[in-house]
Amino acid sequence: MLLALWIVLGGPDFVAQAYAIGSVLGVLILLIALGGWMLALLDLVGGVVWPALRRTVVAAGLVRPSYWLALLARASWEREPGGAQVVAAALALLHRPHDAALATWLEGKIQARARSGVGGVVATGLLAASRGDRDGARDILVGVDGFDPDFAPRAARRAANDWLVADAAARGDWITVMRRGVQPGQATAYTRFLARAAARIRGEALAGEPNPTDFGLWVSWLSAPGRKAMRPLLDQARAAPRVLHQRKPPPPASPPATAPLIDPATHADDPVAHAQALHATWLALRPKTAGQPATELEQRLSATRMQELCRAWEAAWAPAERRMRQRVAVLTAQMRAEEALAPIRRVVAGELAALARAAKLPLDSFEAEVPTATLAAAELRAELLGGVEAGSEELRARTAADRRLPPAEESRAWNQFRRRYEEAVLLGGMALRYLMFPQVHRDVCGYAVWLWNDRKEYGLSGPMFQWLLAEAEAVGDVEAIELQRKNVGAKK
Amino acid sequence: MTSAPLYVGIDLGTTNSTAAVFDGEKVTLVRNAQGSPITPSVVRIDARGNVTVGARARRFLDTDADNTRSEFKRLMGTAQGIRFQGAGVERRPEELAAEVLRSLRADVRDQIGVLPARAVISVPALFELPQTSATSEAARLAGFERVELLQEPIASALAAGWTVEDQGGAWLVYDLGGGTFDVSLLETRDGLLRVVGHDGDNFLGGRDFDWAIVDWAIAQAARDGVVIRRGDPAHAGAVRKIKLAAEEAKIELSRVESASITVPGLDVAGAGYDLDVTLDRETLERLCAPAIDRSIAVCRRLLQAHGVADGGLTRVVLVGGPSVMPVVRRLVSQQLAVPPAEGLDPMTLVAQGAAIFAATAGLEARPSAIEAVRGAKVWLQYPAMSSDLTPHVVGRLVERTGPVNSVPTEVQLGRADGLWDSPWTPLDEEGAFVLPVSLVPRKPNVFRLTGKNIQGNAVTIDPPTLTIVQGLTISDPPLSRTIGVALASNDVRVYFERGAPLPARRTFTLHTVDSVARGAEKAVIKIPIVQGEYEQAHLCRLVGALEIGGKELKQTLASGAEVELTIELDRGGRMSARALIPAIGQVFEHVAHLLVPEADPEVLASTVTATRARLGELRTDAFRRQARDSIERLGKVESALDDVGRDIDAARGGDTDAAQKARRTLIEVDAQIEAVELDRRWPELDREAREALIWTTGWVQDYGQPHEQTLYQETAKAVDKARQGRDPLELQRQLRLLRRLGSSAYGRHPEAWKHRFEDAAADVGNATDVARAQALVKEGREALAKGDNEALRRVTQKLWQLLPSAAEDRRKGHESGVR
Amino acid sequence: MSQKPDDFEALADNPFYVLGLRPDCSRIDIEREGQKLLGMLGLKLKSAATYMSPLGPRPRTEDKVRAAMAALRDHEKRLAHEFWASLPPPAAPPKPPPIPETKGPGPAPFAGAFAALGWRRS
Ligand SMILES: Nc1ncnc2c1ncn2[C@@H]1O[C@H](COP(=O)(O)OP(=O)(O)OP(=O)(O)O)[C@@H](O)[C@H]1O
Ligand SMILES: [Mg+2]
Repeated sequence: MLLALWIVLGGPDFVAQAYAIGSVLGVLILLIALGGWMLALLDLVGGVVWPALRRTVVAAGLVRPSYWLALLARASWEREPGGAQVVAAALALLHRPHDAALATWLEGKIQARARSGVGGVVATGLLAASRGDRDGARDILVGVDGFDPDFAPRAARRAANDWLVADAAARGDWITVMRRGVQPGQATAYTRFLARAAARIRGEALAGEPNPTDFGLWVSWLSAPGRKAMRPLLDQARAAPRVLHQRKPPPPASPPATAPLIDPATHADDPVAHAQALHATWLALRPKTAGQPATELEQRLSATRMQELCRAWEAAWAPAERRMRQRVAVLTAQMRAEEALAPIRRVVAGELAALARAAKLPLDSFEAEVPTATLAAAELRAELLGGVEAGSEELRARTAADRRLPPAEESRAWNQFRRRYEEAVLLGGMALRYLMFPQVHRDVCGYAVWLWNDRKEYGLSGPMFQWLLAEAEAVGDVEAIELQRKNVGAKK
Repeated sequence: MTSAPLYVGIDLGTTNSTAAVFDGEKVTLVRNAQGSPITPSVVRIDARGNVTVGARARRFLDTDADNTRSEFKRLMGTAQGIRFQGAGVERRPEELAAEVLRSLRADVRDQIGVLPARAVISVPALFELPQTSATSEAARLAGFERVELLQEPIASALAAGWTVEDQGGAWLVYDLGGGTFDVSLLETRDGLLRVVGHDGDNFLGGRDFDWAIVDWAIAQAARDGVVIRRGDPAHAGAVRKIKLAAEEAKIELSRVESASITVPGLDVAGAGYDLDVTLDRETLERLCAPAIDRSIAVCRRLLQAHGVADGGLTRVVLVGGPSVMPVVRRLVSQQLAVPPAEGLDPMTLVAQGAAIFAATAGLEARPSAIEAVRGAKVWLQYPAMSSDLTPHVVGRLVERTGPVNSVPTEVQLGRADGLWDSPWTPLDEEGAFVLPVSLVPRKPNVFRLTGKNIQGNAVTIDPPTLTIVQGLTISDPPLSRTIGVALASNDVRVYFERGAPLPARRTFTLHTVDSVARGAEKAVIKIPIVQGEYEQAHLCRLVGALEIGGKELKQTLASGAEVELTIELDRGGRMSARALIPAIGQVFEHVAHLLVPEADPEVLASTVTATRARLGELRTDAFRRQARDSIERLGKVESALDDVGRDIDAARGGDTDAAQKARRTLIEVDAQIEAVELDRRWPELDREAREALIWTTGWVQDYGQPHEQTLYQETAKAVDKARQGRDPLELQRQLRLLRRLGSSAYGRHPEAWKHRFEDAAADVGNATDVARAQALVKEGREALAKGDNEALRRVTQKLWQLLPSAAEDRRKGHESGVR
Repeated sequence: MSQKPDDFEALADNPFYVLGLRPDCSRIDIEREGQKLLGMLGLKLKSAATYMSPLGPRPRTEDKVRAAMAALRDHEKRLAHEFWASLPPPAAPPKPPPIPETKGPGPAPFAGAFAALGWRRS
């Protein structure tokens, strides 16, 4: 190679022009290859390529170059080079204004290069985020921390975690920030700083570390990216007193209540109107658009308030029936008053159940001796169980029919299902948990086995086995515990 | 000077069609070139391609059957082409319907002097979407600029309500046509006409009487030793001739006591035969009674569904050709204990009502004349026909700028007879006014609209007049059949209930089942739109499908992605749908095929065989359980299947209508069977529960751990409760838990896996992948031989995975891709 | 978890509120009001564009008016709607609800969280 160079430089007389140009190109290619090799070598030693890429090419938002150069980051992505490529490109995409064409291009690459493995999952999640679909991104990415580290490169888990922490901070969900921010194996300087600042401001301890000192905060801040943007947070944190002992969080200051449109008190003398006004007051607090959290409802609709509402309805039925009987006569309707009232009772029960669900009230907030409340409880219970059963059945049917989704979709489907199950447990308690587990165990286990055996999605199915094990332990299902222990222990 | 309004209504019948016009005060029937108000719905295309319609075409029905077609209304909405041998052309049903409409349209021109551009066309109440859209298409082909479709019973009721003076009460419109039977329950109160509900049978009508007569005549011929078979294509020509003669005799018998059926020179499989029999009225009535009884049963069903007790009807309006028959009038009014409304013409009532409806819908038939009125242009909204004596007129200035003098600031409405004026009313800040007006009953009321500008000087307004007819208010036309979307679970997400007012629009959020990759050629998400009252999608008729294909997608669609599906129906029941996918901001609007599926006799026959087998099983079971309801239901199924068999025979002989009827009946049979199965499921589940209780008790007692035993106690209690409350869903849940507990305990038994494996192996024939299942069984046997309990367990579990499947449901639900 | 928007409409989309009528109105009132509102909506008049329900102002559409008229013509259905409409709708259009401040423990939501990572897209 050096020889060629010498010839080019030294023998202008007898070397043709074209030959010269060709040689120069050849040299350049060789140099690049050599550089690549050297980088790869370095990477093997310390895994430096990936971090370097993230700070340079990726941070500059160069999607395609990131995609190709990520091939060099062998050490960080030993099992799935395709994963490195798509994740690098997805990250680069976040670093630039949205570009639909590039997003589509990346989507194609994910389908082509990352059909399985965690890389495709993370890239799909980030891609959703780059399109502004934060709910979708969250659905896909939340499960990534559960992936078996053996199958999920740390770089992938970190990228997912960074996004999730940023998302939680942007939503003001600091509990999640503190939990995820210092999670070993996926925390980064960025997440650590956010978690520590939050812990200090809230006067709480983090998992495995004490409430941070001023010095500790400074250091984390200095090592984190985006110092300028995070400076106010640092100042706020330093201004907060350092608490060494876990302090009980102060009771949340109740938010200023939205004034009801119709004051129930003005209808105190008419049980029907009173119940309706009360009902309307709570209904009005539901979030205006679907998917928004029902914060105010959650904070204000306590079990006692719900009981009050149920009782108000209970008191309304008798006068309502009387009134309706009169109207039946006036309208000469074919129906009896009780018949007309029955569907109304069902509607009320349905709405009460939906209110309880939105306010995260457990099933046993409904009093057993108030018929309206029992009806609502039955409704809520059926809804929770039905949701889980349908979800479980869907997984089973898909397994049986061998209908394969891309891993990111599997991840999303699984996370959605798990959330439904967990909601049912949260509101329904152990009783529902016992009841749901047999079917869920059968279906999820089959699903996870299918992902493991037939699809080699070890990263996805590993956490499912773990989850099943934890659930089996919670309900004391000995047979399932035994089985899942084996599954969890299994390695490819 | 404004000429009287002109409204046109058309009854496009299977056998006969009629047109009528209404001028706001009275209805006039339109006569055709032969001077008759009734035009047979028959089209002939001769060898040279000349088209003849009506009575002149009808004459060729028996002599030149290959070039003369009738009853094409029954095929509306199907893809079936109709051939004309001589000219060698094929026409779609709607093209033939268009010929009839065109001829009626010309008759209106000849009689009134105006070629109508807009009209109301009546359709059977139970027409489904494909059929209504074919009707609209026919009108378009006939040159109508705009039409509205109206359900026939509403038309009849409207005409009856207009003619009959005394108002109020519930009444029945009984419309027995050539091939369809419709019955509607209506109610009038305070001049408001409301359809309470309808019912009917798409395959019941005068034809059935004709066929009954044909069968009788064939039986008579058999006495002469001549065998004529309805299902035999070789006899088709002879059968057609007999049927025409039978129909003539039937019509004649409405007037006289006996008539002869004479068909000389019948060609029966090569041999000649002269048919000559005499039919008397009594025999006719005996032959027709079963069909009439069927129609009355439908009436009863309708009355019952709406809680109308015996004698709760004020009157019944009889419509349709066969209603002319004395026996029909007698039986209906006797059995339902209600007097028939007199003085109404059964043959033309529908067309009259359609014309009146055109007035309520403001569908002026004259092509919009461009009258040059110079003045302030105003948009107006008012009812063209109203029962209310003081309805509102709402108006709004189109342009509010311009020379101050030409912009009105106050308006006034005055009735043309000079007996009523509204006060001067200032326009509001939007340039609008809302004014109640006063109507003279049962008349077209013309109002003059005048304006004043800011200086108080008169301003001309465009339009200067408006007309409101005082009469009936008709509630919005109701939807005849429930419309919804089939979901992957084979459930139906109902969009519009039957009876919902039209037009209507509704949006629901659905979720995709699978993901679809962008650009994936074959991947599509299908959103099937179905019509019918059944809860299970496969029993409803598929009337359209919206497809979201990977090829058109801008980006990959996640599974579980939201799809906001909007379905819209216009007043005539025409449907459009659009799907918005918010995640990717893309809209899909192309609704695929809107056709009535064709019914192949062979496919139908094999369905009948399968259904019979199922019927047999269910019957044995029902007798064992002594379930009276089920036995009765199955009896009905049995006789319906016999009907279907006959129809399939007729279909083989070339009667496409019969094939459609058979298909329809099979769907109904399916629903009956479903009901029986539902009925059977509970006892079965209950038995399962009892057995499970017995089975688990032992195992849990012997092998259960303490916490399992406590949980078992509670679960057993819950099982009992669910059994008492007859709650199948809850019982299934508790049973799962119970079995789980039992199996946990049982698993501690040393030989447990061996038994489980044997059970699964016995069921291998039902596996989704039989080959793989068999391989697994083999593997299991080896493990068994080696005594490798662990391997045996693995194999068994894999085997379970292959056993039952829920893919079945999805296939049933019209392969829906949404949930 | 998230409620479908079509779940809670018994109170808000009650035909009586849609038509601006009270439960004791006559049949003719329903036709007259309905026809008037349809006319006004047909001309896109602002004065007809919203109605007041116990859950606040709601948009009034032609579909809703037609459905309301159909529902009230049927006496059996009317009976149930009368029940829900026995509460008079709030008279005045309410003041815009106060913007809820989330003043729980801990920092306020950190809007710059994504930007701090150099991400322009969340
Ligand atoms: N005077 C009569 N007596 C008995 N039957 C008659 C008489 N006139 C016509 N029909 C029978 O009435 C039937 C046609 O009725 P009609 O004209 O009402 O049907 P259509 O309106 O064309 O059909 P559809 O309403 O089903 O579309 C034919 O079967 C015919 O034989
Ligand atoms: Mg007819």
